[in-house]
Amino acid sequence: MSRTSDSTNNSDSELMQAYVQGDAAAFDALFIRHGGKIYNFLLRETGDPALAQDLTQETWLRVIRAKDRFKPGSRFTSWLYTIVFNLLRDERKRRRRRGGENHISIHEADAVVDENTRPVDESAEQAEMRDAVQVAVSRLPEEQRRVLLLTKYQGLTFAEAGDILGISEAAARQKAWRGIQTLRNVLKGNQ
Amino acid sequence: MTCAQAHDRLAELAPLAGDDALPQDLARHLQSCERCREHLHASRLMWDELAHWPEQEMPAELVRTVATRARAEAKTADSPLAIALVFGLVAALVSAFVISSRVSLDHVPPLGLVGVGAVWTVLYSGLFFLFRLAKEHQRAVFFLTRAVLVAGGMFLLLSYLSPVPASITFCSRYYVTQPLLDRISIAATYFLFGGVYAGLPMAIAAYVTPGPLRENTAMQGTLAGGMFALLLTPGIIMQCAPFAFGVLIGWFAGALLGSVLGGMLGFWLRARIA
Repeated sequence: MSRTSDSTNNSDSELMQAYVQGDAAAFDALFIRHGGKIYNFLLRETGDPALAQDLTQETWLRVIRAKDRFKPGSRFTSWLYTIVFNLLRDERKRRRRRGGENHISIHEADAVVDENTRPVDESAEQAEMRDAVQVAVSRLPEEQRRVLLLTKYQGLTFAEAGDILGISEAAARQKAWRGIQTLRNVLKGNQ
Repeated sequence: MTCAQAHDRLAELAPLAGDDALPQDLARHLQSCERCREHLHASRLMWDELAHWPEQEMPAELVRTVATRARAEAKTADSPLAIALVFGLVAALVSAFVISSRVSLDHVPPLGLVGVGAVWTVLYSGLFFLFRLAKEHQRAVFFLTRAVLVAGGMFLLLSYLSPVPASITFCSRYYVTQPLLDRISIAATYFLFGGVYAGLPMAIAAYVTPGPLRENTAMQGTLAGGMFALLLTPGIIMQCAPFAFGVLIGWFAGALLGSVLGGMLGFWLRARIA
């Protein structure tokens, strides 16, 4: 993918507006900036690398198709994650129609743990703890999990996460806090 | 402050809030309550623990696929006219197929069929082009064209289930309608049926396709009805080949009047009831 020379200085919203006006390189810049984050979010949310790839691809295609609907000056990440959540909802519906598979996430499976990404100096105990945390996060109630994923891993503020999930900033903070307490209890029980 | 109150306050601030950000009353409680202090400390540790979930690189194949598809989508988006023409051609072919499967077109010369097909393609393409173009900026036009396209689909369905000539033949033999049809000319009969076959789909389409159109229902009905009648013209011409010119005029006039009245009625009902 090509890079615009000044893409690093432009805000997401500016890049999106440039893309709407026909600058294809602005799309590349947005994809470089957010593609990995979206992929990792979907990977953590679904626990299925193939599905995460499909949904990542579909997310960006929807960005292209719906580019004219992006409101100038609005927050690009909110818009982007709204697309992601709509896709996740559609995928869940599609699976439910196919026959009873309600969850598309890792709730009932183990979290994705890629052996290649493990730090070399990580002890067995640390690795075990990390895996336990990942599985525990994946089993949190949907909103708690999403707030944690958005704020802890995607680098969004609680206000942004709340905006995307349709809840207030305070509610997002409370859900994160409850999520943390649930994780503590779950992990305490495992020990 | 009780421990329960402290926990509620922590939930509103934590886990990111540092000690400096804690309100005075909460900070005082934490200083005096070891359990709550321990609770906050453990929660912060848990929050930090979450960081140990490494990011994974996007697969190179995914990056390539998105780049390729982005280019392909951009090309498609850049040629709305080509898309409209493809849609118009397909819609014209489907329409011609539906009509020809229910009505004999033996009287239509091949060149005439090609001409009618071309006109239909242009009409469908124009409507679809307008529909897509208006989607973002001209919502009123978007809703009107959408209603016309939906009505077009319903007209085809109606024509497939019971084409106008077949319905007229049936009604002219049915004892209830026979006396009425016997009294009017064949052109008037087609005027009547043309009106019903155009008015009904247009009224339903105008009613069921939601849009922010609450005013000027008469104007909207006239515009949508006019466009719809125009869209029906090739189909009427095809089916009128065996008949006299007067029948064609009667049918078209009925279709025009029915479309406009149906559109007005549908939009009016939508504005009043829905």
